[in-house]
Amino acid sequence: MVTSLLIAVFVLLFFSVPVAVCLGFASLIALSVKGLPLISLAQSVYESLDSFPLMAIPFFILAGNLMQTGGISRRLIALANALVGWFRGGLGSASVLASMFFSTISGSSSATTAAIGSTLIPAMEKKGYPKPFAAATCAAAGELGVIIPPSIPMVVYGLVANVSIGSLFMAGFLPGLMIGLSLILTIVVVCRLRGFDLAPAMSFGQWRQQFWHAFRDSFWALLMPVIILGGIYAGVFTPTEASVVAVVYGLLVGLFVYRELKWRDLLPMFSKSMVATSLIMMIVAYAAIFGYVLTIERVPQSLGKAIAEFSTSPIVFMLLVNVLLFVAGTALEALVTIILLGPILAPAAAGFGIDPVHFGIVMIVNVAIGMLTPPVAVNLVVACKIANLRMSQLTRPVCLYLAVLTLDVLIISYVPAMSTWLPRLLK
Amino acid sequence: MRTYIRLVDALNRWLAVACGLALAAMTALIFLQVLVRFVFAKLHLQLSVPWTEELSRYLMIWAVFVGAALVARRADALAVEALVLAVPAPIGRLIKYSAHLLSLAFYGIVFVVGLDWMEFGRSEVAPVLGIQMSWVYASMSVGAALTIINAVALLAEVWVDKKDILDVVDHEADDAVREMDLSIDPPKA
Repeated sequence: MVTSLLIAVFVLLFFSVPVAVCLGFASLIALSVKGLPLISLAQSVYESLDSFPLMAIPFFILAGNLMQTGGISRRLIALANALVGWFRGGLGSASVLASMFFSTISGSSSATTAAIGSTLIPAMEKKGYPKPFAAATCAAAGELGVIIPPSIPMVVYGLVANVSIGSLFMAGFLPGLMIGLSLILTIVVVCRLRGFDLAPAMSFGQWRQQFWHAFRDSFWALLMPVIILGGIYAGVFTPTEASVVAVVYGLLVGLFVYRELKWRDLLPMFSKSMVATSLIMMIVAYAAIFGYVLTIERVPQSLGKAIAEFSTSPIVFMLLVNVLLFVAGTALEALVTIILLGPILAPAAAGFGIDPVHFGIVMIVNVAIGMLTPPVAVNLVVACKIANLRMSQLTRPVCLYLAVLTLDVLIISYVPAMSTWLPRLLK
Repeated sequence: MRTYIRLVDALNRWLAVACGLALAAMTALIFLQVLVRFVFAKLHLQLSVPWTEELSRYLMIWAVFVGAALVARRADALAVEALVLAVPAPIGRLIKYSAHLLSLAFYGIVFVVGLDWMEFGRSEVAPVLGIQMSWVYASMSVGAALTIINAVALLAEVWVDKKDILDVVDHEADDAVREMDLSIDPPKA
């Protein structure tokens, strides 16, 4: 029964049936085979949608859209460039740093890649960077969008695996910082070895002047992450409340301070954000009934037992999880991986005594890397479209970044304190 | 056939506006709640607005089901396209059509289940607003019906305009890029 159910889902999945329909259809079949009322489908769909934490998703999507059109992202890029643009490899580093700033407001990786890439890929090319390297840099840095909070995959993981979303947000911060630094280090080394991006000679006074100018210009944009993250970290706001404050703040800054947001753009932007939300929510909703079927079939328990028979070492388990997620990440979208595998893997991890917040971060970082691994690799697709390259032209630089990121993910997997230290400190 | 497609698209424009307004209302309601909790409470204004959260949750549920129908019009739902694009085009097309038909069948079942669910909602009342839950539960059948209408419109368009069903583009990437074309000035040297 269980195996036929899982096989059905995977067959449907690879036959390009929409993910929500796969999950719903397989569950309907399972319910009718077991003689359970089909109305359970409706019941669990509504139980999962009727949720206040879930409302953070439309608000964070909207906040991200507001700051793109509201002039916030452009100022963040200028600031990043003023900060680190002065050393060799500085422009590439600036694109990583700008992605990190951007990530503190946006919860999506494709949006981060697009925002940073459209400005910085051409700029890097002008400074002598090979175009494929520039594009791969923006794609790799873009994945920070879901690792550095706020993050839509974290909201979804928190709901499907029953982990505090606020804790996940705090836990993602240090791993995100480390990944960012490791990418910057890679860029600096590559620039030295290959000999491009000669930095302009600049005195400290010039630098200070340039930095001060960019800082003043981006002050209101920088306040946004302070409000969002500060509010959540201080325990004042729930993630949903923080997300709505972000929307209102983005509206105020875009409309009245920078005045780059037009009133007539607002309604289409709200519509678009809501439709993008529907896309995610339909999967969350039908995953709920699928999860219910899995639970009455005791799938997580039997899977946990099977893994325990294979090995009792949490170290081996973590390695298996990383390999599984890497493979899944090549063919599945990030959210799909989380929704399908999260409810199955999280209880197994708990059985090994792994902290649920730490395990959540390991999953998030893995699905973020999945955005760089073809055939399904949304960040690469975005970067290629902007740079006007074919995906195969990016192979070498992407492999370099994947090697660095694999090292990062192993460190994050085996140093739980990196994820759990900040949430514990702030509790 | 073309009239049908035009009608559906006209309907969709209104539905998109409704979704946008729903999100705007949700923003206003939840922000009001934040104000009450953090600002009014400081000013010793005793106010309680428990209905804001419930109302916005119900708005979200409706908007999610209606928005899902708009997604169906663009064949935009998250799906794994790797196999379809890897096999020879005629086989890929066959798989793609079967996937669309299966989705239609699924939403047909959801429509029927949703009607039962709405009937069930007559005996339930929303805790704060006091309305019958069938007003909320109706969204499932309405959403399923709208999804079917839109999925049929998509298939009709493929048939009338002789489009290739395999021309499914990666909308997420497309949208992200298009967005930036509009909003970011060309980089200065």
